[in-house]
Amino acid sequence: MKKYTIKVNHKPYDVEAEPDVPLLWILRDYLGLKGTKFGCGIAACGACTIHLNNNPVRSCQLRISTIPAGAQITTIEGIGADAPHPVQEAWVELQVPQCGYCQSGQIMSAVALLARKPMPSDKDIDAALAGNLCRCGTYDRIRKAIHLAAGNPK
Amino acid sequence: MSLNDDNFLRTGRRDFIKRASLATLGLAIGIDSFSKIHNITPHNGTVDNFEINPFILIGLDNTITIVNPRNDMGQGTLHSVPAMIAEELEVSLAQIKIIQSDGQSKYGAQTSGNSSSIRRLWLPLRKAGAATKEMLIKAAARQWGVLESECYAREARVFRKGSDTSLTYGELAGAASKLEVPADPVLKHPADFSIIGKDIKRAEIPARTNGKAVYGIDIEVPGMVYASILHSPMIFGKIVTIEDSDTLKIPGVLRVIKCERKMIHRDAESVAVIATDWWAALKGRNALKVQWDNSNLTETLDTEDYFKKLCKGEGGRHQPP
Ligand code: FES
Ligand code: FES
Repeated sequence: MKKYTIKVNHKPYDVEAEPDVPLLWILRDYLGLKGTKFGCGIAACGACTIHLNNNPVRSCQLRISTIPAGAQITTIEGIGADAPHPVQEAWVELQVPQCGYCQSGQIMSAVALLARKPMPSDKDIDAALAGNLCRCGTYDRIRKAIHLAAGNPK
Repeated sequence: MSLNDDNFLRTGRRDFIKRASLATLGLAIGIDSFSKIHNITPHNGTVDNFEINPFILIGLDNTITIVNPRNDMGQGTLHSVPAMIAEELEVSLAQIKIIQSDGQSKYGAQTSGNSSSIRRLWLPLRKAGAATKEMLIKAAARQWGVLESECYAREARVFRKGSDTSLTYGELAGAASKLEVPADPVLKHPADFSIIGKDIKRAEIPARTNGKAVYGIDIEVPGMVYASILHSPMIFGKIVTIEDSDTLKIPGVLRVIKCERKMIHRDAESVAVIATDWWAALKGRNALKVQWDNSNLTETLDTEDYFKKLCKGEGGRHQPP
């Protein structure tokens, strides 16, 4: 066991864990932040997407020991914590989720995309979210909601 | 105890709703046949809710809680099932709180499957809403000394026709809960529906956009441990040896257990690694060395052959692709 300090949603956490534990399980099982979902554990689905220094990353592939000191980790709990983020508002407006299990990951990817590209094209959206699978097949609404959020800057 | 949907429906037709008045009886009575097998426990604590039937709770402050007895797996039962009650009860979805049933037998079968949630609950739940509404109307009519036909319900209130007089469901729930449950409440005509079939936003959607929605995998109970299970790579496989010394060295691994499970077509054997957290359990499973005996596998299966076989079977309707 080793000691690590990580910063999640601007809050520092001290964790004691084996070096190979993926951030996904640190978040879920150690810190109790269950909003980030486990889908596959093998980088195939995107359900576990979080931001590492504002970049979308698959937390199931990020071992705790490899997280750079001082890195800023943002999870779904950190998006719109005070007031809903425009992406979340658009998601509600267009009733994007069906079961919702993939949506934490979808939203993390969408937020990162809009931060990088405030007016994305369909192509940009498809490319940025290609790694986020939705078993319920909500892709069409996801795309529309990203456009809606883009036209709805806060 | 397992209660299937048919059971639920059968009771549903006749005496689905049983009056329960926490105020007068101090009892919560569920579906009739269930209450026979289920001990009825007195309700203790302060009463601020009237459970006129198990699916509808009306608070003195007019908060209305509707219980959804079906799992929502994305098919929308958290919305559609309460909507059937709300429609007949004459409350809008914005006025109600929807909660998930908690496994108590008074809610009947609490699984989802076979596209049955709406089909099977369509009449029972609408009747539950309609009967409750009729009781509330009757309570109001008595209070005002008028005929029930001079009253109507709208938006969680009973109104007296041709006047501004009204009472909230919360104000009426106590008196209503003492009334007989109507056996055959009048259901609304579909043309009068204001919720069913209308495009109304699902109330639980925000929780599915901010990480707050709770899924099965998110549940934690005190002292919980995690397991990861290694199955035979081939059907009918039997365990010959389990080499778990590497597994047991992994920090967090608690135990390795051989599991046997009787199943319909076969007995399945598997090995479970139990650990303090799921990652340790998975690592432990990956470190297992299990030798399988596959001699029970008398024939090999391949999809195409199997399909052909099925098509040849009695009553087979499909042609091989
Ligand atoms: S759980 Fe990380 S990509 Fe599927
Ligand atoms: S909404 Fe169900 S998996 Fe995407």
